[in-house]
Order: sequence, then C-alpha cells, then structure tokens
Amino acid sequence: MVADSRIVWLPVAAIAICQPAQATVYLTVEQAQRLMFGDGELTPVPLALSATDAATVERETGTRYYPGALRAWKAPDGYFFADAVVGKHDLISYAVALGLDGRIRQVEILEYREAYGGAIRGAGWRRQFTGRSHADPVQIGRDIQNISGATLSCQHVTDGIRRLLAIYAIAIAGH
Amino acid sequence: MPSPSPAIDPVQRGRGEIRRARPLLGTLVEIGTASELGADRVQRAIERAFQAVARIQALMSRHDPDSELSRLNRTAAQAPQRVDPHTAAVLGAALRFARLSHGAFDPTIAIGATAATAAAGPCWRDVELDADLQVRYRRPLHLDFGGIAKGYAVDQAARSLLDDGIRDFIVNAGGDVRVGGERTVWLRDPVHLGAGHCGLRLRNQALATSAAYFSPGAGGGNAAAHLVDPVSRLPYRGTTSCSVLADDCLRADALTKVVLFAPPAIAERVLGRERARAIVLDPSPAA
Repeated sequence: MVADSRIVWLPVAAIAICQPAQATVYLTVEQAQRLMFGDGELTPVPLALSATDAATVERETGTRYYPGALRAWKAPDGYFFADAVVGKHDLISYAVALGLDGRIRQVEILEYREAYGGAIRGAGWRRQFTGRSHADPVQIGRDIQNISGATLSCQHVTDGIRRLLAIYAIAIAGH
Repeated sequence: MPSPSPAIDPVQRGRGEIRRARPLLGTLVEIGTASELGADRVQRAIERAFQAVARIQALMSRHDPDSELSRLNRTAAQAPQRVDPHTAAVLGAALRFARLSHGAFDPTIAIGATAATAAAGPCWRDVELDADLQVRYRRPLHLDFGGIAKGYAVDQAARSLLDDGIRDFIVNAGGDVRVGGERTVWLRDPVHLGAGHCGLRLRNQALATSAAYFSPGAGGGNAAAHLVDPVSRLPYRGTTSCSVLADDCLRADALTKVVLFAPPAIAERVLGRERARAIVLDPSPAA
C-alpha cells in the first residue's frame, strides 16, 4: 500500500484483546410499562395454558413454549407483555404492547445479554467456523450474512412475538 | 460493555444516557443519547427516530411483499414506476456507487440465476431512474438494497435526532453506526467473535462493517442481506472484514462492498472521492 493509502490493513492477531461478556439494560419492565401505557393502571393477567393449548402454540408457531416465561398485564386501552428469547449466543428480553384489538402497538427491547466471553471463546467452538469455511458450499443467506449474529437475535425476537400472539389468542382473546 | 451487535460495541457513556432498542431492519436497532434536553423530550425524539427507521424499512424491505421495493421488483420490468423520494435517493446513490466502482457495488440481483448463468445476467446498468422519480428495469431483475438501505435508515434516524435538537447520540443498526458528537466504537475479529477488539474514535461520523460470517447451525437468519460478489455473482467466501469511516452511514455501508470487491486502485479512488477511510481486518497469518 502507498503511504497515503485510505485503506489500513490490520492483521487480526494484532487486535486480540479479551473483553468480558456484555449486557445492556435498555428499559426495566416498569419503565416500559410507563412508556407504553403512561399512568394507566396495569393488572397482571394469569396465562395458564392447558397441555393441549401449549401443544397448539408450539405446533402453530414452530417455537418451544415455556410455562411462566411470558407475563401479561391488562391496561385500560390494551395489554402489556414481557417475554424473553434465548439464542445460541445471547438472551434478549423484550416488551410488547397490544391494543384492545390485539394488534401490535409497540415493541421495545428490555435487556440484551451476550454469551461471548464464555464457552463461545473456546477453541472447540472456533474450530467449527474454521472447518465450515473450507467445507461444502456455503448456503446463501444462511451461512453468510452481511453483519452477523445480530440478525439471528432479531429472528429470535420475531419468533418470540409470533409465539406471544398465539398465546394471546388462546389465553386472552379466546376468553 | 453493551451492544446488540456482535460486530460493533459502542461504548457506554456516563450516567444519564438514555438507550432504547427495537427489532427493525432485520436486526436490533439501538439509539442512545446523553442529551441533557430532559428525559421526556429525549424519549419523544428517540421515538421519532425509530419511526424514521421504520418508514425506510416499510419502503425498502425486500422481504416485505408490501414494500415499495417489492412492488418495483414485481412491475418495473414491465412499465416505469414512480417511487417515493427516499427510495429514489437510495437507488440514485446505489447506481452512483455502482458506476464509481465499475460494478463492484451492484444493487441488482439476477432472478433464479445459477453459478453458470449469473455472470451474464442483468446488472446495475439495466436500471433507469429519471428526474421524475420514475424507475424502470430494462431486463427482469431484482433490486436489493441490503448493502445500502440500512445505512440510509441510520442516517434518517440521525437526521431526525438532529432536527429535535439532539447533538450527542449513537444510532447502531447491527453494526451500521452513526455518531453525533464523539464516541469510541469497537471492531471485532470477524472469525473469532469473542477474541479481538479494535477501538475507533468517531466524531460526527459513520462506520459500517461488512464481513463474511459463518454461522453453523444458525437455522433461519434468512432476513439477512448476505454478501454476494457482484462480479462472479457467487456468495462471498472470504473471511476478511471491512469497516469504512465516512461522513454518513449510507456512504460507509456502500463503500464496505466497494473495498471488499473492487480492485484496490479503484477502491482507493472511490474512498478518496467520498472522503472515507477503510479498515480491513485480514485474518490471514500476520507476517
């Protein structure tokens, strides 16, 4: 490269600095409730699914149902939900506001917790990547992505919201 | 150390910073500010900034059949279509970067192409955009703004925050970052995700990163705009990560692909013209 090059090449080895695992709290459940429903009074709503209903939710949404994971509150003008999804690399809790018509009004991430820094830093995990990069053809859109795991996290939230809506339909709207 | 993005870690500022995140653009979009305008005013400004991002998503998502981009991809090969000024702005910029980079950046993708036929397929020269915001495809093709619309959406969020009087902020859409004021962001080793970081000081600037990222057993993740080499039309197989610093995020986003795919001399020229700089993290063994 010429001296005034606008491209800087860095060998990766030069930037190997370990960082602790990461977590960000964006909003607490109470802050999200106030943001979404103001000072409206919120009443907890029990979400008890029968085994049959739980199986229906899992079948229709292609997700696992964990009893007690999803929490719901009734507001004067809608419903507030707090839920969490676990990905391979992270845990994301989030809140959803539904109108009385069951339509999504707002989605907010509550907390993001990353698993890097733990097992994922292990050599065995890294070898998976290395092996893959030289193996069979990589699937477009699945194995190569513009920027990485953030996209997977988003997919998990999307799956979680689909599950949440199915539970709402059975346990709240259906009653 | 917070971040919704495995590629970029914006540094947490002092106390009093308000941060919010929402699932948008196929990733988590994070907006943070330490503005002292007052919590209510700041929350409303953040809300409007998210809405600005959501508007761009509604126009330009390739995965939403109701988006304007999807409508274009269905109909613009048959007849010219008038588009929203935002869509025209992104398309205009995409075609400009395609021209400057001699096709190394290319927003078009062939429909149903195989490795054998892809190279002879349609390209950016087959897309017309006129002054009346009319778009026409000369051949059947699809536009994909995956390499540029995220950066533009980040810029729109930044503009909304600035319009609301917020000068100190960070907008981070899964690694496409725009900073108001001054902040440090961290780059990561694209292969050993947990292993390495590199700090960069940004001052009223944008940073975008593109990297090949192998995700064994990921399943799904299909909302991603993957990297496709626009010359060979095959998926990018390298393990190099490229980050670009520029005045705005649309430029930074597009220029990462120029640096990854254009001959170095062309990349240097385009970077110089756009007043941008690139950092390439090359995982080949250090000399």
